[in-house]
Amino acid sequence: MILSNTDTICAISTPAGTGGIGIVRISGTQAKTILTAMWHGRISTDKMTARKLYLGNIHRPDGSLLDSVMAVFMPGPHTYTGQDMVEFSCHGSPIILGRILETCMHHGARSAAPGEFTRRAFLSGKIDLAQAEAVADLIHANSDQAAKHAASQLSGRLSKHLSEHTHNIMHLRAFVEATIDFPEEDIEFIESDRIAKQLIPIIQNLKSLSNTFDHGRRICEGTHITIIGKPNAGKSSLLNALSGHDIAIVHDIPGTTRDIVQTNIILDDMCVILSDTAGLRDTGDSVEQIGIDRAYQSTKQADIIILVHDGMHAPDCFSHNFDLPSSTPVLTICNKMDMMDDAHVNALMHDYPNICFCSAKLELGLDKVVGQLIDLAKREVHLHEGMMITKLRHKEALDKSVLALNHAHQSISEKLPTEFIAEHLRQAQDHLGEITGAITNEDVLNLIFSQFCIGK
Amino acid sequence: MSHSKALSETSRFKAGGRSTPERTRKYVRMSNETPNTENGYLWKGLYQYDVIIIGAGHAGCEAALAAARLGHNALLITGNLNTIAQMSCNPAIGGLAKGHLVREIDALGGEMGKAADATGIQYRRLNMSKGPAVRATRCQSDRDAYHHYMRHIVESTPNLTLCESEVAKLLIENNQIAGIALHSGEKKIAPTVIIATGTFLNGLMHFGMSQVPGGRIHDFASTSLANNLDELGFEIGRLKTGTCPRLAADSIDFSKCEQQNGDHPRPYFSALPTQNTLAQMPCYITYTNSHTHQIIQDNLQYSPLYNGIISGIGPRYCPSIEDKIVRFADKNQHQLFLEPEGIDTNWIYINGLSTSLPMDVQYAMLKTIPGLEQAEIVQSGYAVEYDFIPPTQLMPSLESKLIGGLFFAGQINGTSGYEEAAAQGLIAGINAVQKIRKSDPLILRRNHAYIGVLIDDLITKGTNEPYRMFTSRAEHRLLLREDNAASRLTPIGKAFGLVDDARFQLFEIDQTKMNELHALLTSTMLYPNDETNQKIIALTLAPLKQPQPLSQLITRPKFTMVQLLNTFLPDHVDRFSIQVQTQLEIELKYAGYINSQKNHVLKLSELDDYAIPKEFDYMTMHNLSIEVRDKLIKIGPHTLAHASRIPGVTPAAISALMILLKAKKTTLPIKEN
Repeated sequence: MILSNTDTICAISTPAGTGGIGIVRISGTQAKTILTAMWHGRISTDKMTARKLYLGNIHRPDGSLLDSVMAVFMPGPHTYTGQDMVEFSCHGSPIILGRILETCMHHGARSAAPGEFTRRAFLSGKIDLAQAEAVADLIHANSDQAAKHAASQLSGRLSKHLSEHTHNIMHLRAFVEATIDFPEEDIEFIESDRIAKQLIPIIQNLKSLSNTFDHGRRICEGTHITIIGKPNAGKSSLLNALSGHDIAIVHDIPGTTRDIVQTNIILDDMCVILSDTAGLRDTGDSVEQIGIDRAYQSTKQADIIILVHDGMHAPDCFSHNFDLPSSTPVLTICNKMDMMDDAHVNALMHDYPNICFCSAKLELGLDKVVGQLIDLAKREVHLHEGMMITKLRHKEALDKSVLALNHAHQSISEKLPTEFIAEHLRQAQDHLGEITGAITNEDVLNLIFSQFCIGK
Repeated sequence: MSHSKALSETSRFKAGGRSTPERTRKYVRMSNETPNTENGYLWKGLYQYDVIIIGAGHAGCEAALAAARLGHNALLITGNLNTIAQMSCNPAIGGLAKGHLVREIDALGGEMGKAADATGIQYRRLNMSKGPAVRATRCQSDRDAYHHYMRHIVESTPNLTLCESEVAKLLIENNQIAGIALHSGEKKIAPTVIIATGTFLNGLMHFGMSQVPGGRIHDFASTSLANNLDELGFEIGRLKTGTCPRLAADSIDFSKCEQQNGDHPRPYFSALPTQNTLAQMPCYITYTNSHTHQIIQDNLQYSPLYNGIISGIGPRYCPSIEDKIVRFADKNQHQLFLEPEGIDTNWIYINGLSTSLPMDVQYAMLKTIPGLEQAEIVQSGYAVEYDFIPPTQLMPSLESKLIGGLFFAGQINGTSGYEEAAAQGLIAGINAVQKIRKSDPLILRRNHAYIGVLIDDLITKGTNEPYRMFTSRAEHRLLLREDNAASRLTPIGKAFGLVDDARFQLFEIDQTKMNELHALLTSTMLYPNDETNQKIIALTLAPLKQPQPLSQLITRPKFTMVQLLNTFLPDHVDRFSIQVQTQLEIELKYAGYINSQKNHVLKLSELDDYAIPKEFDYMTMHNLSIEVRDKLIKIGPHTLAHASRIPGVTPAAISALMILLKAKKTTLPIKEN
């Protein structure tokens, strides 16, 4: 795909991984429009002074809150790229950054290619040739790497899956194009409703592939493990014990952890993002309730949930029902083993073989916890291996392809002339080609000639 | 009056001033008189022209006419005056994408559209239900009438000299063309030469197992020019094509065949009115069957295509009957079209039966086909192999990269089809003149015209089979319609001087009328009252709920401009031609699609603004792979957009190139010669 220099692009400008702050940049004529579409701040975008930071919230396309950010609007030409630019300083979680990027794209931006901001900077005369040549090298190196990366990213199953769909679309195109280009040939062409029927499974498959993105990205960033439990069950202690740092505030006053505390740990070569959440209980404190809501929200995005029980209340607490997502594996832990009577522990272990007993504080029984986490994490990764997409750009291409296929389907049901069906199919294939490699007009002609006996 | 004086008087004739042709220069003078050389017409005592065109086929005729009409002295050399603009294959012009090409040639001021309009014996429009951009005009031509029409035009056009001879070699000076030498030893001098020799270079015809040198039946093969091009360093490729047997009409039982008639009223190619008094004739359709296929199977060893004698690559869209039987063994019949070759001939062209099988096998085949049981073959089918110049050796002007002023057009560039040839001839003719005038060449973009797609494909990707135009080759198909050919190209033709005042006036009238009709439709509001809705329901459309202008009502599916005008503006129906009505209907009805393609074009056109200097040194671009550099060096793209279309040149390479091109010109890596 050849990139335009005038459309609006966006990218995360801070290094990959979790940092304290992340920056998302937008450059192009639509920068301000996109900002306006997302922005919910005290100062509306039309009242913003250029190059001044404003605090506000940004919302998802569905209207829900995404993050609280600082935003700045910089009108061209006195910007890095020479075009209108917007920058968001937001929280550094890759998930939040990714969502912000998706929201920008929803409002019309395109994800930038490697080095594209710098390319624009050069083209608008912002940097000199020596710098530019360095950038040219960089772009090339990056995209080579990206290409290699992309190729390896398309694992066997995914790439087979995609090429199957590309192939199917190309077949439909061959039919449609042959009807157009060879009207006098004695060819049995398939009828439009049969094309429509064949489109449906392709659309569904590509859609569900696009939906794997969230999951794929999480696996790519690391397995998300969320620790939940009642207040004071020792969740924060467990997080600290597993990560080896005092990250969460450990305190024996129930309700200390009111927000989500995250840390990255390495489990047997796997990157794991461990989240500690607020203790779950009925509360009248509205601030605490927000924390509890976030805890539940976090379980929905988790790959694995660790449910921590306070051993002091065992076994009664085991029967407490939490509202957890049914499809996510749960590792149940009974903490504070050190505070319990040995005989009681042994009896409980016998009665509840699936529960891990440990003491986070004294780091007793942690090996077993870690062992079980590794098993679960491996199972999770393996389960989805190969059948998900991890690149935002791939998702973008899939979504556009699905849109074009839907249009093709629609134009068939509206009985539009064949050439419009052909146009949508071509677009669908062009978008898929951004992932799998372009299909040229020549490829379609080749298929036509191999399939049909053309020639008066 | 001195000789040179006569020439300069001739050049005063404008295009279209054919009524007073300058007869004295119709055939080349062989006189030995030594005219004076004071105003530069003569060089080393020899006749000088502005443009010499070798070959008077469809490409050569358009090239010569364009150059002459632009006021430059053109010499058109043909091996046989009786085969000017000969239709060597089937007697038809137009069809899908080809009809588009003819309209474009016409819109630019070329001759083919008018010739086809004047000499056709059946006209049809194809694909009427498949969308506005893929509708195409096609005609059956009277082969002789077409030849006579074109010969007459060529002979009566001022500044154009016709010569029957054979070219032996090109004259080159300092990598620039200087003229040509004929077999007779005579030399003709010109700063530009257009080679349009079709299939004649080292042509070898295959009739069954026997081979005869020649570019076409009854014609010679040009070996010395072929060798000369090879010596000059041109890369030469080899292609193959074939033609079908011709049958005697009175030996065919047409009652066993399906009849196919032309359209009423007949469609036209040209925007200019043409007289055609020829009787209109039907075509017929019949089919092969399993008996026919068996005979072919049994005799495959006698087909030079299958026994290895023919090595050239044939076109896949025009396979021989042998090919069809072998590759599509499951098909139990193949369609055959019986096309009349003209009014005054007994010959029938049998389209779909291209073959190189021996005569006795051809007869045995015919015996099995309904209607053809008694058919007599008046000319056998044959295959022809010929040399071509892989067109990646050309610039977008069709001038060769190797030798300045030397242009190539038509089948020698690896194309197939009269229309593809004529289109290239026209462009080569215009650009030879531009070269003489030291002006920028005419380069049509892919979103301007099928001609742009054609030439861009040829020079960028080359071809390994005879290249034929298909609508699916054009990524901006919705913009390249037959109906808007004049809007797209006539202003360009005018700017380059080939569109004369008469044609331009007609064009301007159409444009004014279209604006007028558009304004009328936009300003005529319909209101959802009973009277209006009754009319709308009578047209089987859903009634109005909101007031809307006619320009919006026309966007409803299955509703035509004719219906609209008849119902709501009956007084205005006759004020607008069908052409104007159709074009506006399409522009309004499909505005969404058309605009989306225009936006796409706009995005791509950013890259068109980056011109790449001819001397750009890709070897200094170390950040590009050797493979990419080699491709760029081979094609020598003229713009960044062109570079981006070269197979194998990556987007990253384009980015890197863009950055260098944007850099100040002085710092660009330019090769030193």
